[in-house]
Amino acid sequence: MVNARYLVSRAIGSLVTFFVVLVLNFVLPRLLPESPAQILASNARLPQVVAAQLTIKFGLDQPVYVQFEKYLLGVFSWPPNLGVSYSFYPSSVLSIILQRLPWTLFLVGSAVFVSWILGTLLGIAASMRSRSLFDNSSLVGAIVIYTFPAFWIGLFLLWFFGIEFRIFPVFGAFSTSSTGVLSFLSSAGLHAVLPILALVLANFSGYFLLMRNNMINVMREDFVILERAKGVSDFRIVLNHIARNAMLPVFSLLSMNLGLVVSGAIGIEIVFSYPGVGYLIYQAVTSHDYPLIQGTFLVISVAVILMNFVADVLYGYIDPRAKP
Amino acid sequence: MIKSSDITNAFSNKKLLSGTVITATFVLIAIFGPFVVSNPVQPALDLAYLPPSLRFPLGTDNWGRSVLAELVWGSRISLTVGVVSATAATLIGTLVGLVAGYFGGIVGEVMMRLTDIMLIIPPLALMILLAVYLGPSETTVIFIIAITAWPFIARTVRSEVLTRKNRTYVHAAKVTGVGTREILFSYILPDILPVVLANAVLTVTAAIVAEATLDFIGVGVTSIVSWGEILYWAQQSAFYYNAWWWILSPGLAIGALGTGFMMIGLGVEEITGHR
Repeated sequence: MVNARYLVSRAIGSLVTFFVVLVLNFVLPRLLPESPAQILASNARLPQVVAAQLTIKFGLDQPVYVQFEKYLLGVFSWPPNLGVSYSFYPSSVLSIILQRLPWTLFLVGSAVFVSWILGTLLGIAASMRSRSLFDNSSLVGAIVIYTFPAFWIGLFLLWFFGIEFRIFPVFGAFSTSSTGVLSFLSSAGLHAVLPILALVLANFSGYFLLMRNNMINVMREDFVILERAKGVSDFRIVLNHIARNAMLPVFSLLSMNLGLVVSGAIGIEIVFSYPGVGYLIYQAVTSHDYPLIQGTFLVISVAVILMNFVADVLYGYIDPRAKP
Repeated sequence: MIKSSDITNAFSNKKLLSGTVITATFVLIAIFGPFVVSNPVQPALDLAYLPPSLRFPLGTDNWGRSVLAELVWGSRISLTVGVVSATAATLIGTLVGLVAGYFGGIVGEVMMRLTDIMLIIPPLALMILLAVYLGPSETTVIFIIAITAWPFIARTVRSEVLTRKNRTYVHAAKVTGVGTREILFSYILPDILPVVLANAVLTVTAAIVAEATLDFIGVGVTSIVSWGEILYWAQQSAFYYNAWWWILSPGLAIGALGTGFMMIGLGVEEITGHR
């Protein structure tokens, strides 16, 4: 059973992180030499009258503490009010992000799952033949691939499989000409192959290296020697005893690395023009759409905080030693 | 503690040796390369998109500039930003880790909570946000990378301090009246220095990748030639002309330099018996 104190402390941790993100999001734009009101007014795509109206509507002419109160009230109202996008005017920031969020969750979710499975299995395989040619070459391969930027792995795959050999589509998340549910799904699946492959290549090595090291360490423990002495088969020892124990730190890496995976997804979404929140933040940056940049940062962070909390809770179930 | 036997081991450690050779090669290229190849600022459009040849070993870009020359000049930015930001992150992370680990209590708790918070926020998203509002410059990029990288080091240093603060040599020092600051910096710090060093070097790899990513997205320094900046421009048109050399070489350079630093870090960990 999961310790209630553990749950409460994790929940409080997540809430504090959320609050820090909220404050950062409010303070940073106000570090600019120009005030948000001036930026709003200087945006050419926004009619002057509308800019003036928005300045008053968002209270940008009022003192900072009043603005902060309004900002908090906006975020905590239902549906949350994250402001209006400049470049997609008059769409609200929230509605744009909500359209994009499922794509990123799909991409990141599949990539995390596949790299976790792949890294773990490879780690078990390598540890069973420790110091063999297979072990050494996968070790060097994992280290080398770990040092390439995720976005560059994406660029390389795009060039190789998308342009040189034209096997997979390289632009967007689905073909606009697809009609019907089935053709949409197959098109979306095909479009996701290269981005997911790139993310997996960029992420699996962490799991592989950790799993391999843990396996080798657990193999030396007394209880494994005892099982061997009892005559339990090697295969069963590896699966039921060693891998089970070696898996725990890998699982906590899974939760700790979510932020890094999402970061990697930003670069890869840009490369493949994949319509997730990562590509959105890029579009927002290139069009100086400040409300959209902030909103996207907020939503990405909240998604990671939530996923992190869920992973922590699951970890509490798996490892009874988890303490606050 | 770094022992003299560690230093003899260092020469026989394959990882450390190959890492040092790779990194030293790039350092030499960054220092002396620009004296050999001229700064590729001048566009020569008639030479655009040329594949690798004797005259241009790594081909040319859309402006007809030698990609090799750009790589050589860009290595200065990648190395400087990587090393300086990793050093800053290591200093902050080590200090926070030392204090949080040694003192515990409310101070330690607050510091570790802050570290945990920084670990959860997706680093690239935070870096983009900071870059947008602080404005692009080399200093900003260094600051941004340091700010997002220190928590990883603080966490490791803290756990190392926790295993040491109740050891006999620390107690002995306390009993004989050694001050807290001296215990931290003259007793515990030298003991965990190998871990700090290994992590610092591994952070350089992450910092080089982060710098390239920021430039690639277009929120880094786009006025000076850097490896990420080459890829930023390459992505816009290289694929239309099938100019694979323009995409391939900067990535390989980032990977090679990153591997060099990473090998050094893993080598140090191996020699000093951590991990």
